[in-house]
Amino acid sequence: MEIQLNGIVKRFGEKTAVDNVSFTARGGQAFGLLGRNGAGKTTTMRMIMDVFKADDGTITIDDEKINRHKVKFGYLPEERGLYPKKKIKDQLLYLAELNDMTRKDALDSIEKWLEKLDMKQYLDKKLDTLSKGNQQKIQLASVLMINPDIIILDEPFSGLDPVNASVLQNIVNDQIKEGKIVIFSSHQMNNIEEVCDDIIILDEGKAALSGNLNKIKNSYPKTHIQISGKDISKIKQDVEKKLSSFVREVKIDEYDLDIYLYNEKGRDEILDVISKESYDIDSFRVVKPTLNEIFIEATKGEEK
Amino acid sequence: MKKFLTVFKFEYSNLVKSKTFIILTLLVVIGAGIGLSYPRISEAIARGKGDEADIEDGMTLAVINDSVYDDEMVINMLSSSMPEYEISQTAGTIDKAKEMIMEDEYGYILYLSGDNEYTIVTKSIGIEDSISYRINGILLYNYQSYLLSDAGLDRGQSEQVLTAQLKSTLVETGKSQTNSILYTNMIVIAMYMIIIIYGQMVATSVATEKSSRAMEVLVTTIDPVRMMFGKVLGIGAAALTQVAVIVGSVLLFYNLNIDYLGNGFISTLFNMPAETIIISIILVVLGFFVYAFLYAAVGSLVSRIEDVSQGVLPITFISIASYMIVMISMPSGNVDSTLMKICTFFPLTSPYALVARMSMTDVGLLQSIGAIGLLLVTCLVIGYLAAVVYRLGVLMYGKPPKIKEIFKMIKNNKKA
Repeated sequence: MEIQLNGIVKRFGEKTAVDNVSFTARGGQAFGLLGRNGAGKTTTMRMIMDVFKADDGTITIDDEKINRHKVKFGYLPEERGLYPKKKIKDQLLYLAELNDMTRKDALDSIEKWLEKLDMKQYLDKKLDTLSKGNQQKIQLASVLMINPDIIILDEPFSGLDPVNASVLQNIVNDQIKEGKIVIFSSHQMNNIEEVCDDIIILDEGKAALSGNLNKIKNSYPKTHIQISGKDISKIKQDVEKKLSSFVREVKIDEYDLDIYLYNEKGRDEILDVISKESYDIDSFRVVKPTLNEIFIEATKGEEK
Repeated sequence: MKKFLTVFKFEYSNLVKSKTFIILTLLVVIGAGIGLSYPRISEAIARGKGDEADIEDGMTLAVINDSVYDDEMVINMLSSSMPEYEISQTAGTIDKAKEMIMEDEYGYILYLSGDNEYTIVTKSIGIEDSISYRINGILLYNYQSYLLSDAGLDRGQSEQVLTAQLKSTLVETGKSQTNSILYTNMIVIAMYMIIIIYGQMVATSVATEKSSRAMEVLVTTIDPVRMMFGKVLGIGAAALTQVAVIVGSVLLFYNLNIDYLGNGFISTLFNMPAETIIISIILVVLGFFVYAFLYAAVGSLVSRIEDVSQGVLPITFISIASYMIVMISMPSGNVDSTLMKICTFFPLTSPYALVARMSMTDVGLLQSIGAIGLLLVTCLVIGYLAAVVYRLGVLMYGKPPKIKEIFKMIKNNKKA
């Protein structure tokens, strides 16, 4: 199963919130929807869930228009919140019934998920009597209990302690393994980097960058070289002396020498220099950019 | 439709199961029970006390007779007409009488200074105290028969003159306003309370979902318009349940105590024509929806619960104003005035105006259907407009939009 967005546009009055965005999120994979605040992530998610109609473009699942009776969405909004004054069981049942579940199925599923999240003892408690982290877990249960085909998680890790964050990570991984489409949105790039295969970075409603995360990383010029070994300070001196026209910046600490080049040609020059001398080297590697670096690079260009 | 029913059920059971709802309903039912059983209870108590209760403290009347009338005749005359008073004779002047009253010797002193002149002395006359009125009647009758006997009429003849009566019949071809004004009052008050209480509940319920952000999840599973209708109908059904329970128990208590309630004010309330009952129910229901849709739209526009009371103010104000207009127009009997006619055609005042006009005056079947039809159309139009605002409002956070922006929203929606 895959969901495909093709050239979607959404305008609010004069403002174009989402401008000609296309991407494909596949089942069995996590997709990262990234962008700074106000970049159009939430609007895009809402269009996927048919809360907003796109002004232009198409959204299809396996080449068909989305049929809400067939495709179930599980949505964890960035701004969490259910009914603070209602019993957890009652409100989860309500949400399940709104998702076309029968009462019996819903009760079974609620029990199953609360057990999994270690929250079963709170079934008859009111939501606002729980801690913030536990309220988040209840909300997560409300997403998963309906057995959604497509799971949309907006900033799922915010507000979770490391233990709960790893619980969430494991659950999400299970869902991916079951072949579900998982769409992530987060500012926390390290989480995205670990789970997501494909990403899109939105900037002021436009796609600044999109595609397979590894491919994107590989597409970046290989201008960051890291060398480790005993002779790194000697290498530093030689490189700075002989190759100053290629080198933009050099950093050194006890173990590693980081060389930032102006272009990829410098890499061969450095290899040339190193191979001529008999330095004591443990490793020589080209460092791929982190998602964090890619994100900053992709979104800061537009900053005014 | 299934999701609409889910919302309906959720909202209905939330309200009906809530403690406030149950306690409030019980209190009203108990109050009605006590109120309607009161005459029966007080009668039972009075019977228990027996004859001793006939003359109460302060029910003593002393007569100082300086007139031509015979002392015994005066005492007998007063005693037979006012059996609950202990009547005796005393002597003295007005000043002496005042003294005796101050010293609580008697409750009242009647000082007859001439054939047609008297003074009553007492500490103070209560609002419901009819003694001066009664004494006046007795003495006037006595003076008149005295004059007639002077003119040569014998006792039988003068009695005939004084008790002469006319036979009169009042035929009202329309609805009797003296009766209908009472129950119309009740209906208008009930409508006003239902609209204010449950309408605000709709607004608060929407705003709670929005401010707690439950709305973010809800809109992904159900169309906001269906959600709004489910909510308004659910809360409306809860209101209807409460009213039905209250009216049902009132009817029950009324029928249990019917022999003790007499033929006065209360029984007039229960002698509503069936036609008025049916029309009133339809109008109250439609009136509730007209306002509830507006309240829902307002609830969807505010971001925080604290803003609800301010947001609903204009609607509440209109509701109060139309209630006042109707309430002021009713006692004068002029429910067909120009103002009321204008009110009939203005969507927000029409529920109130229609109820008053239809239960107090004779409106033909055709006109009734027309008026209800008009209100139904109004209700649907307002429901549609509220749905448009609701759909956009529920996901809009920050400063509530101005009226102008709301109209723009509606206009833009029509283009789309």
